[in-house]
Amino acid sequence: MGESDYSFSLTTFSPSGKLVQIEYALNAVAAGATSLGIKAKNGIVLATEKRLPSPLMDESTIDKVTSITGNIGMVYAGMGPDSRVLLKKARNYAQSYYRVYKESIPVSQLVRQVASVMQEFTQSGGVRPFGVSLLVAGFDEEGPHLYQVDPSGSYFAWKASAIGKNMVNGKTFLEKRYSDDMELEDAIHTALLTIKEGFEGQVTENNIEVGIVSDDLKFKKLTPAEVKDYLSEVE
Amino acid sequence: MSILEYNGGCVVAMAGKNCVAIASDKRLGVQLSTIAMDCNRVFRMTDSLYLGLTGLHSDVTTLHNLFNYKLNLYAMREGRVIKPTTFASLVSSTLYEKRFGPYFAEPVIAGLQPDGTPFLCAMDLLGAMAVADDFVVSGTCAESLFGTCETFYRKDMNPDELFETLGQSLMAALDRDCISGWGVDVQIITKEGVTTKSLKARMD
Amino acid sequence: MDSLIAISGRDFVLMASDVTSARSIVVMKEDMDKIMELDEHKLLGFAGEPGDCTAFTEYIQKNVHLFALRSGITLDTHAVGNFTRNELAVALRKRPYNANMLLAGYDEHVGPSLYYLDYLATLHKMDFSALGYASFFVLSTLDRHWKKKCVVLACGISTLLSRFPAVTTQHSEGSSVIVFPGQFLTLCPCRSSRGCCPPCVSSFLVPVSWCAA
Repeated sequence: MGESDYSFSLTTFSPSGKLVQIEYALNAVAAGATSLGIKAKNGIVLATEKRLPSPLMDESTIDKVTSITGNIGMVYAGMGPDSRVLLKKARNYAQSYYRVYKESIPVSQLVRQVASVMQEFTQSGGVRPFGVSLLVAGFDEEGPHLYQVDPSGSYFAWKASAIGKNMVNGKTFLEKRYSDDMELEDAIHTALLTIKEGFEGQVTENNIEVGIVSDDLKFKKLTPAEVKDYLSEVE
Repeated sequence: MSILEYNGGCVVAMAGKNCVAIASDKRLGVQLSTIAMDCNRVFRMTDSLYLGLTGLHSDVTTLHNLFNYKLNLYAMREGRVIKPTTFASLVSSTLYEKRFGPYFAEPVIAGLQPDGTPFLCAMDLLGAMAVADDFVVSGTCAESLFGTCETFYRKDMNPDELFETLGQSLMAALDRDCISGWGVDVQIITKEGVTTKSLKARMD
Repeated sequence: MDSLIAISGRDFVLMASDVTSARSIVVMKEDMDKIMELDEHKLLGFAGEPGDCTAFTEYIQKNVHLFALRSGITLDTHAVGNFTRNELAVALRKRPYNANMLLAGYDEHVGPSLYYLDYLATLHKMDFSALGYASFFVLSTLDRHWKKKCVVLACGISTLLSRFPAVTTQHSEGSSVIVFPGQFLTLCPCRSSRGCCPPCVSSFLVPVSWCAA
């Protein structure tokens, strides 16, 4: 990173061997709105709350569930601006990969790359760790994938996971609801139920976002109208 | 004389039914004087994927080393074997990366795709891909090779027929080129494995 | 113009060069060493632009030595060949060296080996090779006369001496042997790389008929 007097790493070990900066980053994640992902047999669903500080804000302009490539999507919990840095890097890496191999990037490769960027920010000088956890969902030749990437740079593949404010309750709920032979439609229902479970106030098509990747290898963000239909089904 | 013709040599690859073969001559020269007759210019990239390189031998070696390096890293990073189509794109982009100071080598890629169908591809030194489903040629006797391959090629040959056709096509073309020849190596790639055969060409 | 010849046999590589340093029609000196010792069991002979040859071969020699000092590992001939090729290949597209080389070495597990390396960074393993003007005459002669069964050192020297006409002639045990003008360097497992010089070559000489068959 920079060459200034302050370009030493801010992430340093505490005497007990912990990296408190990373723990603080995880706190920032835990304070963020809940996001979750569920992997089904024929696809993956990502869902998140849009918690706005003021009802005067126009929620239709906010995108928390975003696409990285045509077949890979992402959602975050934590600091929005930090997530956009990672989103940009992820999209860049996916395109570089495509440019060399003329083949779309495998989800595992993309996740590994994003995770290594996050790891670099725990060791480089003059920077702080990212205040986000990511859920990356994609469908490639190997099938459906759901990965979680944390500020430390560690990443895991999940069948279903939740991050953010309600992650503990969300995960408990998902553990009960999850089954291995779930279809994508079931997964969308479960995702909405999980969101509803921890939601403060009324869930509407405007204050949540849902993205799906199906076995046609296409990532698609559901429109408010589609979300509304699904919401009416789970009620 | 073009730098691509400085060392001499040629490569040809041909597709059969669920098999491909790639063959090359073995001469290494410095312009018209022959330095060695045991020069290999066809390299194994994976069990069912071969890369032939003609042109400046120095760059042939450099590229062979470079692709070995890239494929070793690819295999470890991605935990899988590279597909011929993917490899061809890698070769193409690697060559084009040096658009304004190119490697003076022209590759031929021959392999079997995961479903067992043949893949053939030739490129110029800048990485312009030419995918073919019958045969591809490269090197100092490319023109003659086009002629002989055009004449001898038949669709859906079995490995034995393919070996014979490719061998004869190359031998016939070689004899009209004074900076190619001095022996021929043929690799026949099938799903079961690869067989290598050496042919005695005119050794003068 | 330089002349450099090298022959490998079963347990040796032998390298010979001329010793003339000439510019245009002027002979500057007649005791120029064109065969460098890289280490105890490796020789690097060179032909080409004198300045480039000296600069490049010294650079290689010192780097090979530095590697050995740092790591305690002596690189084998194959490794030195590829290292040298790589240095040449990198230089080729920046500031090329006009240096052609023959690298000869003896490795414990590999035995003798000989590599051809030209200024374009073409590296190739050889049984025998020649650089410079010598190559125009010598390559075809060696094509005809080099044999795998040319197994002993004496035979190699004998082949070298008998096949290449040169300035000094010398008679040994009735067979007419012609000594190539210059130095003779031998590599074999039992001796250090810098071996014989012309006076003691004769002790190795055997009748040409020994290796004629």
